[in-house]
Amino acid sequence: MATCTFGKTAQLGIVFFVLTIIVACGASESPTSGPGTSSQAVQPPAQPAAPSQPEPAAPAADRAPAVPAAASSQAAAAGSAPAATAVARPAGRSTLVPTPTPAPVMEVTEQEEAVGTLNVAYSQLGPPKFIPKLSGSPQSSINMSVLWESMWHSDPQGNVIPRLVKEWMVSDDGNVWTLHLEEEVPFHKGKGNMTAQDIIWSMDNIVSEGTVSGRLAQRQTIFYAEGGGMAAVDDHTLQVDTTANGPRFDLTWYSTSALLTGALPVMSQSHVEALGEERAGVEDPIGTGPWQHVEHKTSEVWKLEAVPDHWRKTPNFAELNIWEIAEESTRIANFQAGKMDSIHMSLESKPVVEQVAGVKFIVLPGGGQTHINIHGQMYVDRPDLGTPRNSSLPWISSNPDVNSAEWEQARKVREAMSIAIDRELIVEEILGGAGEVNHVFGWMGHETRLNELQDSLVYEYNPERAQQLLEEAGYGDGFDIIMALTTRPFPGTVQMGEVACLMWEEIGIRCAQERSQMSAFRPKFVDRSHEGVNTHGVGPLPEPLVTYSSSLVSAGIINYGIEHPWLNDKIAEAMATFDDEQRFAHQREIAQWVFDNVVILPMYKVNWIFPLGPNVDPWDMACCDARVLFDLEYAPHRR
Amino acid sequence: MQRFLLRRLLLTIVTLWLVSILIFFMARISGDPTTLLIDDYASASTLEDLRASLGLDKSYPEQYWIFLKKAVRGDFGVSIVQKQPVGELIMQRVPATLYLGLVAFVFSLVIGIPLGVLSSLKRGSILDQVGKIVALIGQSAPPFWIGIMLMFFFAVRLGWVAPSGREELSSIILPAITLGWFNVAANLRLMRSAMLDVMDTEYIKLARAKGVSQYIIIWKHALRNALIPPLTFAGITLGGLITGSLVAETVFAWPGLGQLAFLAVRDSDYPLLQGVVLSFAAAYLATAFLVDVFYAYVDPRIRFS
Repeated sequence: MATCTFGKTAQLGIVFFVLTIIVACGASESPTSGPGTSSQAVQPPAQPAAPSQPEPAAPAADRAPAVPAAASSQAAAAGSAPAATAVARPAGRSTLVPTPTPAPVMEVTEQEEAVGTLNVAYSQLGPPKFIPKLSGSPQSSINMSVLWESMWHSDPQGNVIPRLVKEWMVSDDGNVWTLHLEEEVPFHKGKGNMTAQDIIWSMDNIVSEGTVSGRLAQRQTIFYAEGGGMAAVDDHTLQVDTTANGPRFDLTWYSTSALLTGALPVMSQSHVEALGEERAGVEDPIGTGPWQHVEHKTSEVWKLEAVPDHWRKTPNFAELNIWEIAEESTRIANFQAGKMDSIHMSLESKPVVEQVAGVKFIVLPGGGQTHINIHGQMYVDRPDLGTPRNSSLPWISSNPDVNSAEWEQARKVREAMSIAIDRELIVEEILGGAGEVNHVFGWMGHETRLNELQDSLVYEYNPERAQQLLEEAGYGDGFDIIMALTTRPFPGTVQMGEVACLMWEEIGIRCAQERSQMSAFRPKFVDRSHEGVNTHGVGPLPEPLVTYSSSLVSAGIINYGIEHPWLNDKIAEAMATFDDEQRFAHQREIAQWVFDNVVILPMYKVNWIFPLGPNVDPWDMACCDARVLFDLEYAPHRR
Repeated sequence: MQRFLLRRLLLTIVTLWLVSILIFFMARISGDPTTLLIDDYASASTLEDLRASLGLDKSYPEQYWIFLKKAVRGDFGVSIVQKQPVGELIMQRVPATLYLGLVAFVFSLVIGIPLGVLSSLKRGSILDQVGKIVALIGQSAPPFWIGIMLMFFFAVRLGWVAPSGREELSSIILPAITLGWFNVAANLRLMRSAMLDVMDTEYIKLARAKGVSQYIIIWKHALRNALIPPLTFAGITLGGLITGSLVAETVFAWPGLGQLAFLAVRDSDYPLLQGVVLSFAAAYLATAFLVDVFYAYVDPRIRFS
């Protein structure tokens, strides 16, 4: 009898379970009735009758950048250095840096009164530290997207555009940069206008003791060259002398660009000095961005409000709440329930989110580029590493000479690994088509600058040829390899490694797959100890050289598996080349070398997608830190 | 009694010390936080400086000794990621966790006990079957699944409550149900079996023979005696509800200690992880200690066993 009762109970239980699942699945896939069904945080957009606000002073960033008069460079060079950081001024002539973008495409619509609340949710906010040296990843990117502004920014096409720096010049020898700042940029809450000295102070702060900010070495090289350094020529002119370290093209691009962790948050020196770092950096943070701080709760929410009459662009929404919701299904539930206007989500969730009534998407083409690193190619004498090159591994040559037979044998193995992978299939099946194959490491967004190489640097999928190459290299029976499936914030990174392993098995390469969090794997990037491959990816880069110079050279703290004297020399040469065309010519040479020698396996470029709820329309957004919505001040109400 | 108390206190301290060793070394297995803190473009010296500033350049025994010395003074150090004193972070989140734990506790009693009583009185009825299903789900379904299902049904589909967070008054409902459901099931089963036992005792039969109404028999005589096992169990599990909220808090983005523990694991934030887990352990051990003392006071045989 007891058994019978239990049986009935179990049956009922199963039925209840199934019903629950059906109901819940229906809930997750059915269109919602819209945000009006429950308490809705987002207020409706302004009615047409709402009084419109006059357009704030049209910012340089939203217009064509001013072309500096030739004379201004002399004036800047002749200016007297302030007491803050007195450096000797070189007497060289200056010219306008040739590459700044043409007119930025951020569209400015007629300014209306900021109304309503915009709610967005990310998986992680990071600690609420609003001071340069304490602002690590990822909150630095979030700060830069709302509270602070960078010296330069990027437009949606990836071009560098002016922001706090309205124009810039460099001396003919490439050593001295003169930066002209916007003149009427107020800090929040009436804390005065930004000056060149604030930028110097912010840089001093970000390199000071206790910093968690990366790129310290680059910053010190560029901004603190011995005998050079930074100086405020006047309140709105800054000079940077890199003389002792030679010309550094990267002054503009990756050392201060808003979209990289190297961005320089500009803070008010007087504000921080008056309140102290703790209060100014945590309790009462300010910046020059379109949103100002209201309150924050650690790992919960940051609440901000629109800066009235912002110097560049007053936001369309009056309030902005940025929530931390670690669990993806919870973020999606909030989006479905209309509580969030946008969320950070994975591509896998797109089919569910697409069912939400009125959903639109911001699609950022080229949100990330993935690759498989081939480790152990250590051809530079590095007694400090402790792990000698293991030339017994099939993909590693015992001879660093690229013309040697040993090199060619190992190269064939690597080429076989590359052409055995069907990248098209991976993009179709794993990304659902939301991306494209990649054959050239690090060039996402700069493909056109490959010139004729764009069409020739292609790894055609050819498993038969791959098998033949392995036989020629003496590995007709294949070999064993460790595939570390390391996670990155790009869709499909781990699955890409699993699929590559399946494809390699077709030609006899046997994978031992190991799942690994990047935090656990990363020390192997540092000590170069991994003897296998790993899945990896990087975001968009201002230039390929950014990743070449950090991850394919001996000097890099991390390395993607290859150190070679040719690469070391060529990358150093490119880094010291100021002329844009010449530098790209060097980079093309590097791209060709990396491709020909198959030292790394580029895989695909993936789009990044943010869903938008029924209250917001898409806007032109700079690309990207894949985790963060940028240019939220441009987010328009849906009409 | 004094010897008993001393013995129990020493045992508690030793247990806490062992937990501290365990959590110290397990935290270090979870990954190196410095590699998360610096970006790909940092130099080797930056990495070394960072490690030194966090005290991670020292040997494990040295690190442990420093940690232990501070911990006995209640100082768990500064969170590597949040850059705030761990004690401060914990205290900020204690109210939310207590609130959630207590609501879940009340929920588990208010639902579990009446349902257990009714289930025992209506054996084999639909009500009994419903009670068994509730118990089956509560004890077998993982809380994260329950949480997500509840969220999609009541917050997304019906729009009755907020899906997550703590901003709205109704936000407590779903996480409390998720957290308390297991205990609802446990209370229900315990109450049902206790009631069945009591209802079969001689004094209940006598009451019936004397013509006492069924209502009085159940709610006055039987329930009082049957309540002892579930209430004892509920008291013990109160600590578990408070320290076991990790899943519910993570699913519902509830800003409590459980979520803090999750963040500490995710970020390999050693000091925070050590602080939260040790706090949980201390709270649990303190509760167990007090229960032991109470039992020893009530039942002298325990002191001498």
